[in-house]
Amino acid sequence: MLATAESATDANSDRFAIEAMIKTACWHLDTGEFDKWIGLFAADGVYEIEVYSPEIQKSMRWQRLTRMEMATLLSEMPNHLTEDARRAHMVMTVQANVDRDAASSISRFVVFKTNARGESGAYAIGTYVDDLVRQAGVWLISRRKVVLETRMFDVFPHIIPL
Amino acid sequence: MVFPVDRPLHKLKETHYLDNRIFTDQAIFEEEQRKIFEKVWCFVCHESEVAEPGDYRAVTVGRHPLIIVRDRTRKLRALHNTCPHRGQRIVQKESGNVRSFQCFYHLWNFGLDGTLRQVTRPSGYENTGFELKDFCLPEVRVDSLCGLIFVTLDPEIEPLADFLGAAADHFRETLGTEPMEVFFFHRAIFQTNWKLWNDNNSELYHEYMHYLNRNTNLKGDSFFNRSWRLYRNGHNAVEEAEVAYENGGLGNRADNRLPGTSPNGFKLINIFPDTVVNCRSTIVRMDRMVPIGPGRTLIEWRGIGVKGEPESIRSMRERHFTEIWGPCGRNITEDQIAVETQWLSMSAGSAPHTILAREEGMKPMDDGNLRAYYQEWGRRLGRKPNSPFDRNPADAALVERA
Repeated sequence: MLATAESATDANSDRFAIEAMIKTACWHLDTGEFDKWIGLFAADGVYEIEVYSPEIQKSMRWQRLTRMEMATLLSEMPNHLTEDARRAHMVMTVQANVDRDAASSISRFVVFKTNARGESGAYAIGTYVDDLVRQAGVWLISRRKVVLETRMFDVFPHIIPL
Repeated sequence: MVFPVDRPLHKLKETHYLDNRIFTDQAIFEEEQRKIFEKVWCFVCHESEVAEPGDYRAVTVGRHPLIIVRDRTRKLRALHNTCPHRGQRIVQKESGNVRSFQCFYHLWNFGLDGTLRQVTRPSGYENTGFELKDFCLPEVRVDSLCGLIFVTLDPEIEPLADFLGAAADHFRETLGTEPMEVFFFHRAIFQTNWKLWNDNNSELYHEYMHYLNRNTNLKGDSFFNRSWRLYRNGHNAVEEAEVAYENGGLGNRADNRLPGTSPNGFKLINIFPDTVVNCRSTIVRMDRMVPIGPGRTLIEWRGIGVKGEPESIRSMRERHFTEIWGPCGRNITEDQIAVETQWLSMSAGSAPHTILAREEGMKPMDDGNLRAYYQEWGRRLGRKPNSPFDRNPADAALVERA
């Protein structure tokens, strides 16, 4: 009985840690701390965006990057012409399943955007489907699949992760 | 300084600048719908999008909603997507497969050829003069070339092959040799005039804006050693050049090339008025536009590859498409910012003219292809692109005859 209670406590603790990490990832994106965001991925971590097109009735990958590719691409950011806007993520983890040092989670998110003129609005809506791995006691993302519902953007995300 | 600045445009040739009201004026926009989009062949989709009998695609040409459908005999048809009864859209979804079309409002049923087959409670029409045969979905001309489906609302226009002419030779081998299919589709509404997106696609002077292109396109040995080719009806194309993709960290694009392309190749074909075929060695990108208003344009992008190819090759093509042009790619957002801020300035009246004066012997950064495009635009509207409101009947007749 005691062992079961401890397991439950551990599982809750893991779920709490995973949810906190997912929120932290959103915060790093909002604040433009891309190095820290990338640091939440495992060394072999992958980030991808998947979108379904009802026009051609196919799923498409809008982006698929390894951790190294993410780092390279985001380091180029200052050279690119991008929209002058701030983003704010709202995220809610609805499922987190832990199996020892591996886990999977599903989180719903909304990204709001405020442009240079101060106009705010909902920008992107979707779901994070995450595979996670615990390394040195810390939960990291081994694969993040962003399943986007938003397909028509006022200004495209460009190379900035969602 | 007096504003707007009175620039000495008379020093330029008439063809070398535009009056920017052609991008912002509502009356001109309306006229374009009638005199251009309803009078040319417009690219609407690829044959792979309507591959099987019953497959349909909902599209818009100019202001008109249409259905592209493959009928039971595998014949392509283009039908008006408007119920002749009360005007509802027959097809609501973007695509699908059906045995017939049924209007959701009063359940009138149409065959894939547009014939009205059945109405609900037909007894109500007895002795009223109403006959099924009089209320079909009007059919418009449709044709395809190299898998590209075009429609026209003009029953008098020349055949598609003649309309495209030799411009089609630039993509014929790439798109017409093997069965191809659309595997990537995305779209957006840009706050700009449709011609400005066409300009952005057609001119290569703005390669300097893109960080990626400064390191790739402009580093290729052959970029500046090719020329624009101008064709009848306002089409134009630029010959193939080699892109230094490796300089941009995008690898080498020599393998799994599409037919008729060279390693790391890049050529561009602009089909008047709104379609761009961007042929790269491993991928074809196609753009088309649906003008919504003078400052509002729906743009569709398609990625085209070889049908039935292995997943590994398809992934490669998908990557080659998205890393530059996808919504999360490096370039499209930069282009979007350019054309949207451009239109903001024009609509405010603070940018009264566009300069198209570059002459480089029709090399890639010559504005000659844009000048030719706007001459065709002027011919069709009976307006001078540099002074669209200063026409008299004699001028208009001259432009029309030209």
